[in-house]
Amino acid sequence: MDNLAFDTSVKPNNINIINKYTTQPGSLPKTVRDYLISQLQGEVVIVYAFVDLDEQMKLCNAWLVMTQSYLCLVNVNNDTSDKNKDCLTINFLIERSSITGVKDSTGLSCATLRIDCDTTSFTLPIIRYSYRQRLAISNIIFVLQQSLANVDIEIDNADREYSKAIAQPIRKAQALFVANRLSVVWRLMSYLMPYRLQLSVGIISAVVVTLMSLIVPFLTMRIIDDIYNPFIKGVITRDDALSAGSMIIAILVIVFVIREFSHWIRLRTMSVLGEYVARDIRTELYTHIQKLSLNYFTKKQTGSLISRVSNDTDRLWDFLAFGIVEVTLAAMMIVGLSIVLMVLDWRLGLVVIIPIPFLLWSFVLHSRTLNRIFTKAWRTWSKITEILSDTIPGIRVVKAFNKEKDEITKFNNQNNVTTNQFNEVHRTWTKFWPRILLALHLTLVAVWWFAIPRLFDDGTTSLAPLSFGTFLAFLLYMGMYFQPMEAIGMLMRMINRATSSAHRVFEVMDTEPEIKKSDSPIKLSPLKGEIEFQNVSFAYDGIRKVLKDISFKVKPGEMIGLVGSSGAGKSTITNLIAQFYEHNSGSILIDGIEINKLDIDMYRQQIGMVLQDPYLFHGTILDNIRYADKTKSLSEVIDAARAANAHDFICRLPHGYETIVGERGLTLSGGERQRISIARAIIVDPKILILDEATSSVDSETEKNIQDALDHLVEGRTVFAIAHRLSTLRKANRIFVLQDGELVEQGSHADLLEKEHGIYRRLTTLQHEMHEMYAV
Amino acid sequence: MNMTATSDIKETNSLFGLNDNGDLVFKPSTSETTVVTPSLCFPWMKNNEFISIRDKHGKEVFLIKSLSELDSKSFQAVNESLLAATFMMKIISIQKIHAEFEIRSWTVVTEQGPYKFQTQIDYWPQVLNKNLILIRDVTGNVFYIDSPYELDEKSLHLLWPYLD
Repeated sequence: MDNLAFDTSVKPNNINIINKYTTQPGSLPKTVRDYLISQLQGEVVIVYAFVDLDEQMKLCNAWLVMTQSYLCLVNVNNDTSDKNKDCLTINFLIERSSITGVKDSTGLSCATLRIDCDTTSFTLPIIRYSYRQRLAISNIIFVLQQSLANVDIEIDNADREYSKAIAQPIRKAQALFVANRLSVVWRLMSYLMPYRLQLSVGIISAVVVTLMSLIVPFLTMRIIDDIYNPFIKGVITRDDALSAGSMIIAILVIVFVIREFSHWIRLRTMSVLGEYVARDIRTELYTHIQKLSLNYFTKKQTGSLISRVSNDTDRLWDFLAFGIVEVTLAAMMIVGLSIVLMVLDWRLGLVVIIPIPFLLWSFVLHSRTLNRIFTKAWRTWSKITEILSDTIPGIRVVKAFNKEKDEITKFNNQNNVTTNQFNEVHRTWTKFWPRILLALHLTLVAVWWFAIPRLFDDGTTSLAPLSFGTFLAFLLYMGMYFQPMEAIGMLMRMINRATSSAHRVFEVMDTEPEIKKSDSPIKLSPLKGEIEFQNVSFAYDGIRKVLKDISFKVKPGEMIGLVGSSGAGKSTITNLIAQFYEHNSGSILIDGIEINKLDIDMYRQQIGMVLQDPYLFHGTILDNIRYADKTKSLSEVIDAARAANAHDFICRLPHGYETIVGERGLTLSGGERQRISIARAIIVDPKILILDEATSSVDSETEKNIQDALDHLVEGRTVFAIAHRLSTLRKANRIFVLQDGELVEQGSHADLLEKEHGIYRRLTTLQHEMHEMYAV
Repeated sequence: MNMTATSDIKETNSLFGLNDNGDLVFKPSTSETTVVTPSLCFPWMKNNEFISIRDKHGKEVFLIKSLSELDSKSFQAVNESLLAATFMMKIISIQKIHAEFEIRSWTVVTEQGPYKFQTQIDYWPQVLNKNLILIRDVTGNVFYIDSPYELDEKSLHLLWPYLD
């Protein structure tokens, strides 16, 4: 619980998100806390939420605060006499003991909370709030509902729960990792460090390419001024001119060879280097993904994670291999060109250099305009994708309803809209580049304008003379401005794309696994299979308990059936046994040792799981059966398949155990897949076996086959079996009946049936009746 | 019990009312008064027609085909209880739309006051017709823009990529 005094121990990330993305405070303001201290002495805040709508649906600024004894709504209004001071008023103050019920109803964009009280002294409070506040308010509703059921909920830190509730939707939509672009680029660059040598070679090669490019116009200038002009004026002979010209041609050849050689070195080094870095990032990312807790995978979409490993790392390769060097070189080229021009002739140099900032700025503006038009084009493109992803998987429905023509018309219309939009993109960029070229040409004209009087200077003017060679070099150097400026123009887009990808990648890498490995793990092998839960409670979100104070002890070799309605906590128990999640309180002991202290890898090697949806990997049946242990012999594989009642159907397949299954492989029936998954579990001879609805989605005959296979499997192991069909649990030594996270009944099938008002008995009767009905 | 408006409204004076707590109550002549909640079948297309009236268990007890068919007291009661059910913030001006890592941040002025919200980067506002745009943010709030082409120049410029 949180004392009314200001708490500063809240994770800054959530508060930063609230401050950046919303207009509401990141925690209960100190003024409100102080006000409540003065009004409710001795009370502590348990939980609170911001209330942003009043009863007239106007935005307001109020706080719904729950303390040990009260629930109150505090309005915060700006003091009209002092803008820096808030005017606080208590809208209502209810004793929690008088609350008889809470109801919330939802609308399109706002929800309403009604509080029922056993008092008639005032109108029952109605609190309206936008969906942004929904999670924070639902925390209050939950605590109130639990206290109505005489269950005390402990919330460690009210500030943390509030900021988590407000920031959560944004964090889910965005990335969990928040950093500015520069720090992301620096972090990305750190991946280049192991390849310092290759990077240096790449950069030096790129510098050489730039320098060699700058030499060509310089040599042209020398040919004109040092050879051609002196020869025309008769200062040097034809032989001397030819000899000097040949020398320059030889230098030119050397320059071009060096340039292209360096170009090749640069391309090769950087593209290979980029691949290495992308490989390192992919490996680190995938290794980290494998370490993450199951909880993380429930928050993130599979497609998003796959895209991070594939598309994002590929985009990073592009940036690291070419982007960084391209941009650096472009900047170097512009600076180098400007220096060379100023050295050659500062007056003409200024004519060229002055427009450059304006041209660069026009690239930035163009990039913004293009981005806006692209957004619209992408939006229309996404509609085409929507049509495709709707109609191609649903083609049977389209054909069944004879809607092919309608779908074609819909697609064509959208296709036309998209084409028009992309044409708009083309119209924009094609309009831009001629303008830039025109600007460059006008700069060229300006150079001519200023150069010509100086070229034809006969000594009668005060103008500084200009050699023809210098003038020609100028023209050539000007032509070299275009490409680097274009690269600089693309800089923002390139950095945006790369940092977005890097951000998505780093977000995964920076996610800490929720289950931390013990520093000195205990290796428990072989496992006996004794499992004990001592007052175990667990909440996936930290507040709403899915398991409440569960205690039981299971002997090695015992079979336990888990029964209860959906959400009762059956799968959560098995998830905790497999340590997919860490329990919040109490202890879980495996062979008498706290589960957190075990070597988790060794422990999991001794657990077998057969799940409702038997996931098979792409590969042969053989690969799938010995997925857990590749060293198992072929005869062991056949034994496992026999025990799983799978051997016969596998042998009937043309390619036997080498039949490819999984994605794009042979389509097996649900029962066949399930039996392969049973063989996969059997082959490692697990000491603890978890059967989670293994027979729930198959027909009766297949169920019998699977059940026979499971009967082989359970012998000599500690088994936890979840089943909706209670008949499948008759062989269980004990059955645990769960209701709302509590263990409400336990005993053998026969014992539980004898309980007159027992839940298990009622469920069994209900299923029997259902069976009779369907049988009729 | 499942009725439609035309058959029953004419037989009773006030089919709906509000109790002391402000809850909508359904008062059919044939059974007891029940606290109910209205739910719009077509929230965007017809926000005053086809209103499903549901009891505390979520079961439909009545279907209002059109609010105009109700007596004045019932109309007032249902309308009032619909206030929260149909509430959405109306955007009257857009100050900034900023795309960043996986989200698009909108700074707007609504009829209720200035507001900041976020949409996912690959989410596009729903253009229902030329005159109505709905934007659902990451928290589930729905904002609407009525007559987008009548927005101020800057807002329209910012909104342009999201219009058909």
